[in-house]
Amino acid sequence: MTAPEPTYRKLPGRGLGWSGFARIWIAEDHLLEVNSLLVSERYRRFFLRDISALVIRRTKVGLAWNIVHGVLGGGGALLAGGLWWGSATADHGVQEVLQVLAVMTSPFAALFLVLFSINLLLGPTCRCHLQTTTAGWHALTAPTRLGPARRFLARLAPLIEAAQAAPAPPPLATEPSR
Amino acid sequence: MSVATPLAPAAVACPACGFGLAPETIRRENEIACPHCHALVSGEFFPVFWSPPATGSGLADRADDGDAVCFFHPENRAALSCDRCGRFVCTVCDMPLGARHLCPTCLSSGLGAEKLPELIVRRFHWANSALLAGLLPLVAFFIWPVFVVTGPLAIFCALFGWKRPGSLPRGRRRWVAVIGLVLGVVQLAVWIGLIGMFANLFANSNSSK
Repeated sequence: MTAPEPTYRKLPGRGLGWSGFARIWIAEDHLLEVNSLLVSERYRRFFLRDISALVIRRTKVGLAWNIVHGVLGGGGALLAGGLWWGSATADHGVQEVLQVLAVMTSPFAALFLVLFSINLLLGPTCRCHLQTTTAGWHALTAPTRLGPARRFLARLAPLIEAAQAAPAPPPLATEPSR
Repeated sequence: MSVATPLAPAAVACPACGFGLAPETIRRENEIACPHCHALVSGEFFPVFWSPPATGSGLADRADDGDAVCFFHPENRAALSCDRCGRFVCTVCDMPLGARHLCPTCLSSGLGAEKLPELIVRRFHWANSALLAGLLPLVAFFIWPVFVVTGPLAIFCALFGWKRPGSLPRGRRRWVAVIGLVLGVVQLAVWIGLIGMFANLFANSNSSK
């Protein structure tokens, strides 16, 4: 006999890492961490009754990406502008080469500036850590942005509290021993 | 049965560096900095942290006359019944799985053939693989020789995975398999068309000689 599969609802936030795209789903009595990589999915479960703490730790990953995108985008834009400006005063043969180089550089600069803006709009990065009564800390692969992580915790906290307030299954009633 | 009631831990390890933090200072609303690694942390501690569940001594109680006994250990008093088969189990044989309590037999039978959804750790997406094989010629047209494989592969994945279980949270998503199937059929039709065209050209050039 196959047991019916539980119904899951999405929780806010997603993540992207070496193990693929990550998302957290919630069922009646557990959280499901799903890491999907094209054609396969890997699952980790955390039962609400076992979760003793959920901690959000700010990380500097977003800042590092901002520096990389900013330097490449800003540097590329400056280089393209410089080449274009230089072409105005250059000799006829060199002028065309500089203009071609400026046109070739600008899409890369624009791409990195777009990535920089997206990363800035998504907000600071974080890592969520979940502690269980049985196996200590687990680093979750999602959510990885501070805003969604706070919404995630706000949605999850009452559900965990409700699950932990529910009484444990009663022990088997036995005849009093004589 | 002797029961040990553990106390709530006085400190909790910083998830970044392992340094001991006072749990009562960590709140959802405001971030605190770890004194050791300066990582900013916020969060929440739940009731089970402050009053951990009582744990048994690890030994089951001996059954007296008239007590219900464990199915697997007739000398032990039964503590619960299995939520799947109803057999009485002692604290040694009780296998808690979330809110459910199973006996070792039900747990091991669930491990074998993916019968218990709580024990599934990985799933292959037949529908997604059909879509991927169907889309490959559109995104990587420069590797055209492999397209003789991708069309039939898309059709195979879509049909073979039609009744297979899909993603655990998202379900089967058959529309993805249908798109893959259509793209696979289109690829196959293009190949058949190209082969027919070349065969025609070859026949025409032979007849003109």
